[in-house]
Amino acid sequence: MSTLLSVKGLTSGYGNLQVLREIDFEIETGKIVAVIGPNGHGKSTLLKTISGLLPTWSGQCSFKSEPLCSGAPERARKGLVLVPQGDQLFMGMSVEENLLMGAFSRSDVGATMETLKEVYELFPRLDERRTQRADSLSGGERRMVGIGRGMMSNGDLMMIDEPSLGLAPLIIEQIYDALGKLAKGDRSIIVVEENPSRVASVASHFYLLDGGKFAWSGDAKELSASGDVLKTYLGG
Amino acid sequence: MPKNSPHLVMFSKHISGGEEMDAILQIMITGLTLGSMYALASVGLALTFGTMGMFNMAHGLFMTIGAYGSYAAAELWGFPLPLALLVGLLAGGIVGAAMHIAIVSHMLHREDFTTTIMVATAGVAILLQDLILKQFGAYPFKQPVQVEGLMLIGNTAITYQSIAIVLFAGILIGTLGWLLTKTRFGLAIRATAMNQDAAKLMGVKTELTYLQVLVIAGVMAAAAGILISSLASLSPGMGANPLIRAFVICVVAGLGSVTGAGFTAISLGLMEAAIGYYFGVRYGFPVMLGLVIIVLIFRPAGLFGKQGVVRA
Repeated sequence: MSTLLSVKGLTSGYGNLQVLREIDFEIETGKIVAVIGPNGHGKSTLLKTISGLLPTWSGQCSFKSEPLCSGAPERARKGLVLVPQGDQLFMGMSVEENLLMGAFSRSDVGATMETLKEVYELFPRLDERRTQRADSLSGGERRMVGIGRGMMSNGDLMMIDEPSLGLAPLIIEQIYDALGKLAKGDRSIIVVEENPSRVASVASHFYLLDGGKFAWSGDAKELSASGDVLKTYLGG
Repeated sequence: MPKNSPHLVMFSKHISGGEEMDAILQIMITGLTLGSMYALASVGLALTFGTMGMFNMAHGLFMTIGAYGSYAAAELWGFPLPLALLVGLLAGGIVGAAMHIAIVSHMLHREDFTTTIMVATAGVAILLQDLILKQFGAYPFKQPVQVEGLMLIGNTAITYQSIAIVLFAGILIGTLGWLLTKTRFGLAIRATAMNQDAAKLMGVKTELTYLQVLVIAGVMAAAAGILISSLASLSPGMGANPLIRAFVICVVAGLGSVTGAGFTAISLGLMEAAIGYYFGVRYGFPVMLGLVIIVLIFRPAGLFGKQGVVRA
């Protein structure tokens, strides 16, 4: 297995406020990694920094064994995809326009249409709503568009920020079904969640983020064995 | 009315005492001519506000520079008419690009961008206006870039210049509409306008988009300036009045709505022509300003704008 993304000594934050403190981790090709932890401890900040939306203060990231260039658009074009928290859809565009925006940096029209078909197969609901404007969709449908838009860029690494946020349990199950299917492909995924219970079934490795540092990490087996650690941090 | 207002010239060509049909035709022609100039003047302003959240106080000066660019090319350098027109448009685009590179790009990431950029662009406007005053003086030159002659339909005189204005504005705005809705380039602009961060995550180089938007706004404003000066005359302060009108149009339409600005401009042009015909030219602008107040009271987001909803 080759290393897809490696992060060493990453620090970052907002303005003068430091949030991330010396983060180190790696993700291999085709793996799903979950970053869990309480609110306000840097999970979203970590994804935003890796995606380039927030500037890196110090530390190195390398992606596909090359140092990561700066700037979110450049990183997106390299195949580093962030599905941001709260979806961040293009509200005045239709579902299909939103999905096609996901393929903005692709030039292979035929393959792009194939991916579009895959997205509609994964989320048949979106196929029904393809001409509907994004601001008329329900929360669950918006999340589907967000994830579908991320798939459209056909990147090597997809980072998904709290896919279950603000959704009803039934919809969360649908979303996680879809993530499970996505995971069967060869793309690597980083999922951020506050609570590990949903993500435990799809991810192979877990990092617990607390106070801007990884306080614990381990695989699925260790996760189930470490109930006490998690309870301490997440109040389970 | 100030001396450089287009209306004096427009209405002097109106032949009075005609029948109702003539009056309507006259109002339509005057209104469309005014409306298409207003549309050109305001779409750029709407586009910059919609995409970058920036109210460009120097937008009126883009018009002035376009007008003087064409004047200089035709009168001083002896360029043929179409080439002089092109020089004027180019001048607007270049000033837009230069302003982005020298000023806007350095301020984009400030938290108080929307307010500070107004002050900064107001400064740019004063600087540019004084540079034009120094270079060309305050003499109200005639804009050489125009077509002479008129034709009569019934009792109504239609100048070829009016026809040229409507056609030229139609072509430019049509091209802009096509660019924004049918091309990848326009998709990037619309995406940036709707959600800047998301656009970046899709690989849109938003900084470049902003530069392109200011170039487009500069070209459209320059076109408006050339056309306006062809009906009135050139003066360093000629951009002030159209800027206020463009701002009024953008507010009535809903700040940032480009299509809305186009429709509102044509409607307000027609309305102003009708008021000018029946009540007198001097009432056109006050009524327009009154309309803004009414719109702001009853539809604060504008006729085409949407009330912003903040979602967690």
